[in-house]
This record gives sequence, structure tokens and C-alpha cells, in this order.
Amino acid sequence: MQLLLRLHSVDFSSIMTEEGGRTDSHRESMPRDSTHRLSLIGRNRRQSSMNSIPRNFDRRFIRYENTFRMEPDDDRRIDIAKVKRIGNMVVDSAIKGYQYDPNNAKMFTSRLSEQIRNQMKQLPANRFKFITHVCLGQKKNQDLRVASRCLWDLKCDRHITITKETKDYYVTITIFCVYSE
Amino acid sequence: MDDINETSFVVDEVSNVIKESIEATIGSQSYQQAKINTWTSNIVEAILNSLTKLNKPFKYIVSCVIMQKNGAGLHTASSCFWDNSTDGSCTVRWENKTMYCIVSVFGLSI
Repeated sequence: MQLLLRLHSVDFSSIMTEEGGRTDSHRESMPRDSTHRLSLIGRNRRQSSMNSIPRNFDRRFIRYENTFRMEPDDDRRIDIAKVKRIGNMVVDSAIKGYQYDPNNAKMFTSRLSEQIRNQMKQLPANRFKFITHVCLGQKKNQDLRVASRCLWDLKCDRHITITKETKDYYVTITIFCVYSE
Repeated sequence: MDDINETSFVVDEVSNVIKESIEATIGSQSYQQAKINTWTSNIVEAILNSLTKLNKPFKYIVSCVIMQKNGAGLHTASSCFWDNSTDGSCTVRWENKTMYCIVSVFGLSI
């Protein structure tokens, strides 16, 4: 029994150095940010014997424990008015002195979408995923149409659209908030 | 390996679906202001229908931008806060002589 235990601990440390995973069967819930990927990798490995460590399993397939929660908690719901307020605030401050410049419009658009995403992350909504879609264009008497359709859970998922215009350009922002169980 | 395809976003497959839908709807057409409404709705609905037929455990967001070719500039960007290992997005840019079409599909795993 002792020998067995020792072997197990050796394996554990080697796995820790390789992938930073955990081999014991007690699993806690962990934050699901992309920066925590390394520590989540070991979670789907539950081995009962020494020889069953799959060295070549695909690291992308991660199974989570059941939380038995189907809807957002009352205090964790997305307040759509708040999202709209934040979105408006960020966009207004971003386009305040901005003149359309084809050279750095690309940087400006991606920076704006990142700013909005960072603000969304501050919200107390715990189990929500956010997608921010920014569309910036020059006005030259052309026509433009932006349409989107979503397949999701009507009860929990929301989206808002903000459009701002100046003399030379327009910007359309759509923020999708999707609940993930 | 089959398991992985079932629960993660496969970009190639989705990109093919998008291209087929765009070609089928506006492939040979010229820009017409009256029809643009129908075109965007049709493209988006066709893509969403084909994606559901794939039967994967995903929530989808499909977004389509159609712009007339007039010499104006257009920039789109999207920023996503999600689970990198299971979620993904695919953007396809298509054009013909009179218009540009940009379609983005975001797939969020359930």
C-alpha cells in the first residue's frame, strides 16, 4: 500500500510540472478565464490505477462538474440598462475627438471593442460570456446594413446595440451577453 | 478524436457553411437597396439553419454586414470573453463588383 502511494505521488509531481493538473478525484469549481487553462487541464483525468495516465489525450476537451444550475441567480442577472449605460459611456469618450483616419481606424476599432469587453468583465455577472462586435465606417453616401440572428436561450441571454454618428463616420456596437451553465 | 469534434468549434466546417449561404443568396446579384433587407435576413437565417443541422451543443450568434461599394472604408472588430478551449468564431469576407459582405459566426459551447 505504501509503495503504491509513493508511486502515485511521483506521478502527481511529474504531471504537475508537465501540465499543472490535479489527479485527485475531489474537484472544485474553478474560474473559467482563458488564462486558467493550464490548471484546468488535469480536471478530466480521474485515474484509478497507475498505468492509466493518458499521455496523449487532447487537452482541449474539458468536462465540468454538474452545478445543477440552469438559470442565473437573482443577484447575478445582467442588468441590461446598466450594460447600455456603460456601453454608451465608453463609446462617447472614445469617439469624442476622433477623426476618421484610414491608417489607424483598424487599431481604433479593436481598441474600442477591447475597452468595452473589459468594462463588461467588471460586472457582477458571474457565468456570462460576452461578445462585443464593433463596426466603424466612413460616410460617403453609401448604404450599409448590419443584421444578426442568434440561437440561444431567450430567458437568460441578451444583446444591445448602440449606434453613434458624426459628420464623417458612424460606429455600430452590438454587445451579446450569453449565459453559460 | 471524434469526441473533440463534437464539443469544440470547428472553423473550417462553419466557414464552408457561411460561404455556401452567401453564394446562394447574393452570389450573382448586384446591389439593390430595396432587396438588401431580405438578403441580410436570408443569409443570416440560412446560416443559422445549417448550423443547427450540425447538431452540436452550441449557442450561435450570426452577424452579417453588407455594404455598397462606394469607396468608403469599413472596419469591424469583435472582442470576446469566453472559454477559449471550447468556443470559437469564424469571419468570412466576400465581395462582388457592387458590394461587400462580412459575416461573423460566434459559437459558444453550452
